Amino acid sequence: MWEHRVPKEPALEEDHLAKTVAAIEKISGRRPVGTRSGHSAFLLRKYGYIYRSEGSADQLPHYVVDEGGDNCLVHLPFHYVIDDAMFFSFAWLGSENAAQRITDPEHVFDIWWAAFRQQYREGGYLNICMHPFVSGRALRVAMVDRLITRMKTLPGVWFPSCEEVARWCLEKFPSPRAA
Amino acid sequence: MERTLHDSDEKSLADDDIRWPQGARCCVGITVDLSVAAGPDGIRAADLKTPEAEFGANQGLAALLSILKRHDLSATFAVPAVLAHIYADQIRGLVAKGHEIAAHGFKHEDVSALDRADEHQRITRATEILTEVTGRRPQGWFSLPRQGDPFAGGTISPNTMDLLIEAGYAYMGNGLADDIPHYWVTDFANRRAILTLPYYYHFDDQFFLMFPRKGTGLEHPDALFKNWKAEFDAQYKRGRHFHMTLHPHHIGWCNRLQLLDDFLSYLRGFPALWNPTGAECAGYWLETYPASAYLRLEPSIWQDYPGSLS
Repeated sequence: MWEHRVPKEPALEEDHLAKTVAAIEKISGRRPVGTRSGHSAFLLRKYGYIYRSEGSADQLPHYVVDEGGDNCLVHLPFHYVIDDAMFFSFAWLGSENAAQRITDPEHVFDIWWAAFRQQYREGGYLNICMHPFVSGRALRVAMVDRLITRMKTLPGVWFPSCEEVARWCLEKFPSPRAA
Repeated sequence: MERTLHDSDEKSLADDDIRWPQGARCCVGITVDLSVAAGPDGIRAADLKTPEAEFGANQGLAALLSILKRHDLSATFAVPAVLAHIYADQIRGLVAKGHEIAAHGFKHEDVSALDRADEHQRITRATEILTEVTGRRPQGWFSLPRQGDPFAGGTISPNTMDLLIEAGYAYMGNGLADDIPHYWVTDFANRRAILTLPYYYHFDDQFFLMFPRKGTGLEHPDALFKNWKAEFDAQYKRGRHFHMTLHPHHIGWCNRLQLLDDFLSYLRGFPALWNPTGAECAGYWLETYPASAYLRLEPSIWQDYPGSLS
């Protein structure tokens, strides 16, 4: 996204997406291929995206198509349970004072480790989302360090980028509609 | 004139670039907030008469001071001017015990909507009162959040930091932009800045103890204790800065006091700690990491576009 929102007006939406792609390509040398945004599937395909990551309809990566059955994208599941912001941010998503529930990193480590253990047993997938301003704090990056170190004690844990996962799915488990 | 969106030095210091006096490994800062403000109006007469306020000003404060003494720790007390005036003897007692008295607003009111002249007057009056009570000008100014605030960072106006520089304050006591002392820039072009000490609400007792009062909260001193311990462990390992913010009317009550005692015992088990007051820390930082050499500003990259935020 250009500014962490998707405009409702189609022309402005495309303008934001075009600016996003150009900015990332200019800074990194490569066009982005994935998003967590709600941009329309049609525009994402038009601009070369291969995956999105918006909800949790399945634990595993799966394919999503738009209402017309077109514009197929890989979908990498996302869930707030494996996202840091909800646990560690005051007034997240505009929540009011009486609804605050900030917690400590050990509590979240236990949650994330249980999630990992369950998916490891299944041969599954975890897509943990972190924000630098949240998990970059000293007490939390120490927790992330412990979490990853512990994951690496088990054999067969793969740590790819989202793009690598998406391309793996497209190659090994192609959808007839992905082309 | 275009408003600059660079409010502070964007670059922190790497762990290895930080040195503390006498080879200390980690700096430990303790802020004690004496405010009992319930809302944005700041302290009202009624706020001073609650059982909690009574406890905080007397037994709670005494218990906290006793623990600090037992663990040989000094604190910076953030004191609203009206409280300094009413509890002048107690405030002078804190100075005698080696703690620092810093300003915490005129009555810890939300200044974000005040006009410059009004806010200037309050800063001047607050400074006068604290100077009168303690016999010395306060070096630091705090603007900590109130428990009922919609956000947990503390409130300032667009003029506050510039007014503090004008008033000659050595440091601002609470900033969110870094976990070490850092410069808060008020004028990018002129490099006008004030040293700011780090604050993070996850180390502030008021957000874990009977919080939120109505709603999803209740009592989470375990989370507070775990935050302090995890943060201290990480900051000690990395050689940076650990801070905590306490309120006597919260932390002074039985179960919380026990956890504080346990945590400070744990902390004191580590060698090579430096425990300065805010003014001592600011003085060291200003001398060791002066803005002239360490404030590295870069031109803002912000651009406005039609149909986009500005």
